[in-house]
Amino acid sequence: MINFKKLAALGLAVVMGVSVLAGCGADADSSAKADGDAKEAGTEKTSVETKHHKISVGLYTDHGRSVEAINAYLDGIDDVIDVEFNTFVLSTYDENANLTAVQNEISAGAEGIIMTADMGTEAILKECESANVYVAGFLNDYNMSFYTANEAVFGNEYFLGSVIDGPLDNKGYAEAVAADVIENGYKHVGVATFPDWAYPLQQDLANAFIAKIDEYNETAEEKIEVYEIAEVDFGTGLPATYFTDHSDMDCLFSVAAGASLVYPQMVSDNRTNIALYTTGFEATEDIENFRSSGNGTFKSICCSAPEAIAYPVCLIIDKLNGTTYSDLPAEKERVDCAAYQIISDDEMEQMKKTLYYTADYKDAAITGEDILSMCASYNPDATYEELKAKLLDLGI
Amino acid sequence: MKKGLTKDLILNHGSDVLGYGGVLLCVILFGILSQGRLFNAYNLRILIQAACVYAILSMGAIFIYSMGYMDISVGAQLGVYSIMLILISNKTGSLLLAFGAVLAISLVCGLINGYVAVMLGLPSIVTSIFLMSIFGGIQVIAMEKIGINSISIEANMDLFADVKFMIFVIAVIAIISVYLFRFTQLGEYVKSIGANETATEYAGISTTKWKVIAYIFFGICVAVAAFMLTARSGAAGKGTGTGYAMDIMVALLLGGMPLSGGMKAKISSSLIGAFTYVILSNGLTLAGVSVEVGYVIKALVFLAVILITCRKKDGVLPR
Repeated sequence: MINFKKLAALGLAVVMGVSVLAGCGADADSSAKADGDAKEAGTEKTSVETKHHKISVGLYTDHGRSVEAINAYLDGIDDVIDVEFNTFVLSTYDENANLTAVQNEISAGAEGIIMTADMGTEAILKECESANVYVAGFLNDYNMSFYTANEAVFGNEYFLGSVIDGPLDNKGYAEAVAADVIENGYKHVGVATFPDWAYPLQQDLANAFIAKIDEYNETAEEKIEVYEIAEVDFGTGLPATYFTDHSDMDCLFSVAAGASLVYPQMVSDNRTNIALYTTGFEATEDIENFRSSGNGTFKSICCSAPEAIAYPVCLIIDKLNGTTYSDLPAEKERVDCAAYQIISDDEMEQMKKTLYYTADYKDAAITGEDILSMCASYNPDATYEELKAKLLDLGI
Repeated sequence: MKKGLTKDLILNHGSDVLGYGGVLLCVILFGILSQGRLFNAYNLRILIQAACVYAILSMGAIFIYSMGYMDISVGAQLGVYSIMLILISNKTGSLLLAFGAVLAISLVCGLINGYVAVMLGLPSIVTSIFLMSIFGGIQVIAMEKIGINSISIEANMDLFADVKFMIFVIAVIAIISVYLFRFTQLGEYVKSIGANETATEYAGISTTKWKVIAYIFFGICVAVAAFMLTARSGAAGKGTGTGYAMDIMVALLLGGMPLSGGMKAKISSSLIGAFTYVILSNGLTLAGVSVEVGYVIKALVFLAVILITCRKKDGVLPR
């Protein structure tokens, strides 16, 4: 038995060694593949003389369609813009874990860090300042930093700004959902959001939706009943009693990851007959059951384009190259980007042609060449306002 | 003769070989794969910073794991203590008072963990689950009451976040731990309880008393670790401390500590394990290994260590 154990352990150790080497090899392979992909996609290196940089991208999760799309995009642009990207996973709850992860990236040679989570930002910026590494945000409104540590974060010269996940004011989506709910005659509507402390902007969406319904109710003969807002837990999803407490619910507006945290509860409660309007996009059950497909539960989704990462990439490249936009504001900004607001089958067909859905760089709305032309380092005529305007072109 | 010596080394000192060999293997392997970056001054500094909390917790936990017990409430305790430190310090302006309050609570929790389990005849893991739930609830309620995801400390803790201070704290805790573990009855009896609790009781030793003392020492280590954790990030939140219970277990295993406890337990396992654990994560990043492959490697290392350190007669898991 002991011999078997030792042999097994030895075998595993060998596998470990091979895996390490394979892992390193895979990295090189993927870079080579990216080169090939870039060429196939007709994005061969431009004549612009670029400087090589290394940027690490901290993602809030290690899986999902969004991550696949971001990875595909980074693989597609890296050769063109001469930036070596490395992705790593950030924690959405542990400041020290994020600090350690960023320190490891700096030690591995990162010159810039793009972060999709806010936890530990002050300590991370202190570390980056001492290591001369720049930080910018992506898919992240830095709400906590913005309101509780504005000077320490937004006033820090090593923090360059952030592009948030969609528009800062996304009430248009909430109102479009409300209009669709009214048009389709739903009368018993639930509303769900993540906790207010985590995503305060989502409360604005829920309130805008309810306000629109209230406006309709003022003149409607048959009013729409809106139930109390349910709080979606990051781990366990929608409260299990929400459907049983409201047995006549025929519609739910979940401003909180409907595909992963609400739909499973609907399936287990056999309530997939409820029309689900939601945010986020997993490209799994949400696309299989969208409107005229499958059971038709999903009526709308809303997410933002992975190409918005061009904003922090441009800011970091320029900073590393020692150049800056002539119109760059002194105050660091939280800029927004247009969202994919999908409320019809036609819009879903358009969505299927985006990088987010295909995870194929060929479908990118902002190419590597576009990024070069938007960087002040490589295009003296580039402006900050043009960069921001490009982000607003990304939606459907 | 030589063959016999090798066999004896593997059979009787397998865990030592594993612990020292593991850290050596990591250092050599990642030293090569990282093209020497593992040894640069910046990296050595961040390794110590990252390992500090694990090392302190592991040195306290070794007294618990030596008995064949475990404490899964450590992460939740760590989170609540960090939040308390920040709240009390921000309110009173005194870090000393804040640390004193946390230390007092940690001692009470150590008492509960050790004494209540014996009094009620429960496995210690049950009381630690109870404490984990209590502390987890307090952590969530406190942060929801405050209304934000994370709170920052107003006091300047730069001195305590300095790597020299961290080395000093690790050294002090290590000296105390080694003394208690090797030169006092506490060390002897916790190992004895782990080897055979019934026999230890029949030998006239009050196992209850030594269990409680072991848990109290662990409590002190948790309080110190919470202080260092807060000093490092300057903030704490709803999820601070999550995962530390498992991390500590993995670190001890990597250091060659048998989870079933007993006479083979060594204090060196905690330090070696903490640094191996940190070097493994750091080295994989420096070597450019992707996140997915990194998970697989960590799992394989964990499995290999379990296979080597588990005792044949007893179960693998602690009581």
